[in-house]
Amino acid sequence: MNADRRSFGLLIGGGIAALAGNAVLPRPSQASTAAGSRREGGHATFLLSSLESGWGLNEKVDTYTGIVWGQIADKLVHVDAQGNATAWIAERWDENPDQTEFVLHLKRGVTFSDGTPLDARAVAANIDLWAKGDTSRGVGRLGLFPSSTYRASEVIDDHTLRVSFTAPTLSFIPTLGYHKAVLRAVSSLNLRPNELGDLSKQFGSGPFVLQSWQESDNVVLVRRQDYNWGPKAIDHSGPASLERITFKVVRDASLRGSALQAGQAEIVLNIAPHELAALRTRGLSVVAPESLGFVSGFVVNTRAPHFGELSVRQAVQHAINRQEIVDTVFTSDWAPARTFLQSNVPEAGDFSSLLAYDPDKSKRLLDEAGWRPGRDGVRVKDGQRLRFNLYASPWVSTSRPVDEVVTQQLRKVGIAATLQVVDISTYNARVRGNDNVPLVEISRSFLDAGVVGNILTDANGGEDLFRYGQTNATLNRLAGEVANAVDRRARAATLQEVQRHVLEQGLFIPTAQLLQRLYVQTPKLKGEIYSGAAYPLYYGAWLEA
Amino acid sequence: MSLSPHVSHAASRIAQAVVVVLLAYTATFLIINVLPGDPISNMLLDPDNGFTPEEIAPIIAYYGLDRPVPEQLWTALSRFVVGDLGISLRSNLPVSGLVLDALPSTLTLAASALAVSLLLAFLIAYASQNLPPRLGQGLIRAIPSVSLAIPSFIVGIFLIQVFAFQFGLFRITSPDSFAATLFAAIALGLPVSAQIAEVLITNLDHEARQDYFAVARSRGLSRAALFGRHQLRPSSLPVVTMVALAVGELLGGSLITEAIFGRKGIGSLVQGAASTQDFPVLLAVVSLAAVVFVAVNLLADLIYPLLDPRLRRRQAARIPAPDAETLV
Repeated sequence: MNADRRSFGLLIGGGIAALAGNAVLPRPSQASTAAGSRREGGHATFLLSSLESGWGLNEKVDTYTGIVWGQIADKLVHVDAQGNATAWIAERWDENPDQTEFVLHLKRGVTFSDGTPLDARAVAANIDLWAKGDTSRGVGRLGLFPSSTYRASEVIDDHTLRVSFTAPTLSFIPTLGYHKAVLRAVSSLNLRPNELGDLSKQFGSGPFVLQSWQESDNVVLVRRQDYNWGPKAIDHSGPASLERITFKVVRDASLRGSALQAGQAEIVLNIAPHELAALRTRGLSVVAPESLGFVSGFVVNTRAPHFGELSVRQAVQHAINRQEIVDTVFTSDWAPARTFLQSNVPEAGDFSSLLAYDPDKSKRLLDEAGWRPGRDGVRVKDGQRLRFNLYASPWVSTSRPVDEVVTQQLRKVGIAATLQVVDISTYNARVRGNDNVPLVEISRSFLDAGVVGNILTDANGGEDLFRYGQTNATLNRLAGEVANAVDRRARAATLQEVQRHVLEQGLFIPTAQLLQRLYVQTPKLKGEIYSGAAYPLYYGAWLEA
Repeated sequence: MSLSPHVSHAASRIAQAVVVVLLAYTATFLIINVLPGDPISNMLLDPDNGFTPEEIAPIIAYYGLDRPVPEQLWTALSRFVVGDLGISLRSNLPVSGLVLDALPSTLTLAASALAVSLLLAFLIAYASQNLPPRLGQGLIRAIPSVSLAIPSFIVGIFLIQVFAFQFGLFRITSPDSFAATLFAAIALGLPVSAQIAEVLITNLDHEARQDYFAVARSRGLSRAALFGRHQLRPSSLPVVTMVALAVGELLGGSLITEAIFGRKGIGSLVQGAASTQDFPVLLAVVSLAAVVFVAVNLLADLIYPLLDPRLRRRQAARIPAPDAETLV
């Protein structure tokens, strides 16, 4: 593997990017600079690599269709990059001290594009479906919705409803801003299984409505003339300024970039990191909104051979040179990880010292644990070689190059990781539930850090990512404290302890900041904002002349 | 009352076609089931969803994917024979609608590519026979080999970069426009034109060495008449076979060309279905491809006698026509 050559090229590219990014264009923030006067009309073309997941309910909303849904449908709240929930369709809300009951007060006069009212009854129907799904139609629940504690949604009057839970659920309000938590008309919720994917039958209340679409290829939206209920976070009222938005699938990333340069598109999603510098030098803007969630990294399966040993996990933790990963694979838009939470998560701490690159420490830890270098440099103990297969995530395009660097770094301390690049089917078959795979890559956004409590153990349907079940007393306690928290400040303190413990124990091996959605666009586009999960809202956007 | 040889032959081929389609359907079903994983897990076990396998089990059960493979196959075949292609697991839309929506674009592209490839092949073949050697006849004869060596996706990207982005002749966001379709057809048809040209040149050379060709030339026929009547016509039988075989190649090649040019067709439908193991869609497309392949070969069988009087005489004597492949 020619990592040195790659590293050299990318370092140069990164250097140009840094110069261009810092000297020519400001580092992107959560909203592009709204300089100049607003212009009505205009047509924005947005190129993306896929619209494959279809237009069904709940779990069918993915990164790509989620961007389209963000323009067609509204949410109850808007969650910004700092995790703050602000009013949208829910004008305000009340919470009981136990965080088990939430009363939502809805805006009046809001309608879906099929003309039906967006009232408490419609919201209750949406929340019920998010929480429970409908297996009689093959519809799963909404991933990351706090279903395990959900009790019911009760309509109080046309514009007020009460949502109750069986246990404290601090994450409820932020989750309402999740990109999959889009409000749909009741008729859309009740479609038959063979109609669920028909976008023309899916009605939202958003600032844009469907003009035309072709399954998994394109969607054309036009602004809704009577829209006047945008999120409080957007300084705009009345209909959207953009007349039309076209979302079009162009699978090849370099063609997307070329189309943008040729003026055939205004926005493209997810360009390879090494192409960003060239695009910047041509005057295009690179917007890399921070996304709430986990950083890129690996969760460690403690049941995997050798990874039950603390010394092995800690050796891996200190064998990773995170700065080298950023320098080699990414650009200055990415930052090395300082914990396993993204830096904009309010509860994220700076645990850089626990992640310090220290190969000598790794070697010492392994030596002390009896892992001695073999003839080929790979460490051996009791006749067992310290080797494993490292599977690149098929969902993350940068996973493979990152893993290539990681395998080289591990090799330097005597750990032999063999990179395996497989498709989604094979990945699921080989990695999911396989206790022989020690490191499993994770890439996940969330809007409330309460999700962290759910990965620690298998209590209450927890994901148990470290595979301790409920045998680790510290994790049991921490998971319980996060789950039962009724006060964000107290929970933040617990989450600091969770981060320290998990990183010290080598249970999560962070690699780099996660930029799941990276937008390259014409500098003429102004006024768009991004949610805490880095999804754009073009309600307030316009195109300069 | 006995059937005419033509009708009897056609009926026999149609019966064979039905068997081929059912076998293709069954084989595809079994191959998909041998692959690891299932479509629901592939879609839902994306780490961004946060689902556990236990949570998606009811959804897998809803689609019947937890049942034994023979039972699933029987259910699928029972529906298929009455024309029910099922629902796409990925898009929750009827498969028949997805295929019908995608088909016109692919047929347009394939037909355009076929026209482009025939035109190019004819021009190259004509030049190979009639261009004086000193004016680059050797170079002309080398074109097919060079064209075959360049993958169509490279040609496609090159055409887009130059003609869409540099000259602005078409927009990648309007892939069904005339210009975009023409360039996509060139990308897809170029390798096929090379194959046809190679076969055509070989046969034209062969005909040019025949006695009757020398006699015709000695009678003072014009160059065009000589080429059309005594070289091209007898050489066109293998071209018909090549075209029949090329249909499969064009349909297969559309998978890549459609993806590059951003066209919504059968190729992109297959690509999306294959990446998620959306087997109702895959089964429908494989069956469609089998039907098209068999139909085109049947058509080629019926055309041969029109081009070759010897075959007409054989059919009159109730001797079945040879298969397409034996005439290459």
